[in-house]
Amino acid sequence: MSEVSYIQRRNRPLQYYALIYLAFLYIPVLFLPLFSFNDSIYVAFPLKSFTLKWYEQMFANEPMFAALMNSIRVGVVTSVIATFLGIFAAKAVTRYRMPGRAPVVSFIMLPLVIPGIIFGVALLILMSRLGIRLSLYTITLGHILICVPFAMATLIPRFEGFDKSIEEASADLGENMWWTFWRVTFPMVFPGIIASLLLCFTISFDEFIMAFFLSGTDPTLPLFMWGQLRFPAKLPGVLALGSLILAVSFFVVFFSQWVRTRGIRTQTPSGE
Amino acid sequence: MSQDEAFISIRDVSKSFGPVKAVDHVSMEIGAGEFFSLLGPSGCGKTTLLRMLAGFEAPTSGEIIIDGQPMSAVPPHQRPVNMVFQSYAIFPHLNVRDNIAYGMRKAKLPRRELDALVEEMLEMIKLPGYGNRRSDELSGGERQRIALARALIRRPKVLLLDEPLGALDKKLREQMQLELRALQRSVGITFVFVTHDQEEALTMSDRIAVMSRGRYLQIDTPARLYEAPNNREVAAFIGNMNFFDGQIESLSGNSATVDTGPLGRITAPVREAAFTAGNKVLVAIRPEKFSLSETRAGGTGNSIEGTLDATAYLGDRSYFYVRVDGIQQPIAVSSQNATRATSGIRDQERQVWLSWSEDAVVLLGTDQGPGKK
Repeated sequence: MSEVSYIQRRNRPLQYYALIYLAFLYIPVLFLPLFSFNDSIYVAFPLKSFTLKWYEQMFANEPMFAALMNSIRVGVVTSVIATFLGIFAAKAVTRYRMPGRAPVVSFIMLPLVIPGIIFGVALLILMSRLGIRLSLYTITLGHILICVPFAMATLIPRFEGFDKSIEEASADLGENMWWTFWRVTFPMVFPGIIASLLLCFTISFDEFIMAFFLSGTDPTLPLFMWGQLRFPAKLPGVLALGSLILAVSFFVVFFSQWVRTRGIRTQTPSGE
Repeated sequence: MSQDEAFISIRDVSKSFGPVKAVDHVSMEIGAGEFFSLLGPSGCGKTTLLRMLAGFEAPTSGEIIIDGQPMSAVPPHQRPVNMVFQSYAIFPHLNVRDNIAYGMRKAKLPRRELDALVEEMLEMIKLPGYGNRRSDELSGGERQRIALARALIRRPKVLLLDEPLGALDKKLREQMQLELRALQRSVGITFVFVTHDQEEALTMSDRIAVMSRGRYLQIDTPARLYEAPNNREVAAFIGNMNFFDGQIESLSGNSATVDTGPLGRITAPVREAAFTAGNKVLVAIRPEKFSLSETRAGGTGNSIEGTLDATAYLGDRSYFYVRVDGIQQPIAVSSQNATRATSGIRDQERQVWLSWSEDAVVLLGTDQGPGKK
């Protein structure tokens, strides 16, 4: 007799499937750090000797650093603005009785499914019509556009997750709209805000298509890497950078998950 | 309640949600220090009325005046009222102390004074030393008390309570009813209490407004609502009631002779409604006002013979349902099970006599009563 219930019983084929799935997902990615330590400009087996020179070169690569800083700037501004807009949109959608709520939400969410290339081309045409010079600002604008729906999708469940009488209680206890937001709403949706900031930053950081259409003379990191691929000698440097980004991404994802689950734990009232 | 005594004055207030009239031209006055209940089934407009007092809903028409001050332009955060929510609405991200102190930001008390005040409130709600508890470590009853302390720390002129005992189990609820009543007496604040539980309203209130379909039917003390309802709906809603059709034959002074057909010709006191001979009336008698016997009782009271149809044993009392020729519904009769013996009349299909005193009879108009003012 087994001690586990029917639903918990192990299933061999599914376990193999899970292993294969994870391997398929991560083995290609793991080639990046592997070859970034390989002392050869060719990405091919057999491996030569171990080296850190690609990392040294990367840190000496001024244009790459400039591109990295561009990406971080665009990412930070994008995530802050998109999250800010997302907070108010999510609050409006979840709190107010308004006509046409459903279509409004659908329209805001539409960029999630519209291909980036279409948005990119459309924005490019608009910018050139308006005579706006392409720059990091136009990239940021494009990124905000695609990030707002993600911010909303992250934040709406937070707003829906708490009883609206909690905000009424704050008003009842003498706080106006702004104080209520600051003392009640903000702390309660805070984990959602962090998650939204991280998500938007990540999206913006590796976004290529919009940036490709909307960039001026300053490239973001994905654009820079794309440009580097034309020169075989530069490839290992790109691998080194890619490995670093991979490491940072892992950290960010774990951090955001931690914040999220921590938020959920502190917000689930018991004893009711 | 005379005009100058009124502390809260609700004047011809209506509230519509689209085509639905939640509150329909209600006027009522509540005195200072009164424990006033709004009682009615769900959807009767009691919660909407309470939310208009708190300022969460604006009246479609009419005016609410609290302590001489019209409220229509006053937002919730500036009203001299505080509310205990049905869900308690305890701030989940704050501990007990910060929950209770939440409304005191503008008072700008020094930290030590504020702590002392919070501890005083915790003593009052019998949860001393709870200040550092997290909100998710609290039981339903504790949440309810903390919601109360959080509202009362602000010394509001009026405390609004939206079915605060609904989520508690029966024993705790009965205990909280008594505590809440005692608390209200000691702090002397006007309480406006919303409930659908008539026992709760009867236990705690100075006066009760019985509401139905956005209007109130009667505002009175618990005893008068029970003993002298002024229309059929109130009579049926509060406790149990037997109704019979009748027609007034003659009036003399404060008593009327009523022909009730199968129940015979009975005499009944006329309390307020201006009846005239020939009026159709509704004769109402509470189940416990009947007495049941196996033989015809002597004396001057009214009595009638019937057949025992069914009995229901409820522990402290029993219900007997007696069929009387010519009356469709069996008459409900209740009696206290004063002695321990499981005796009494239990056999069905047995002939029994019902008797009642003149005083027990309530005469009601056949229309739906005054209600709307």
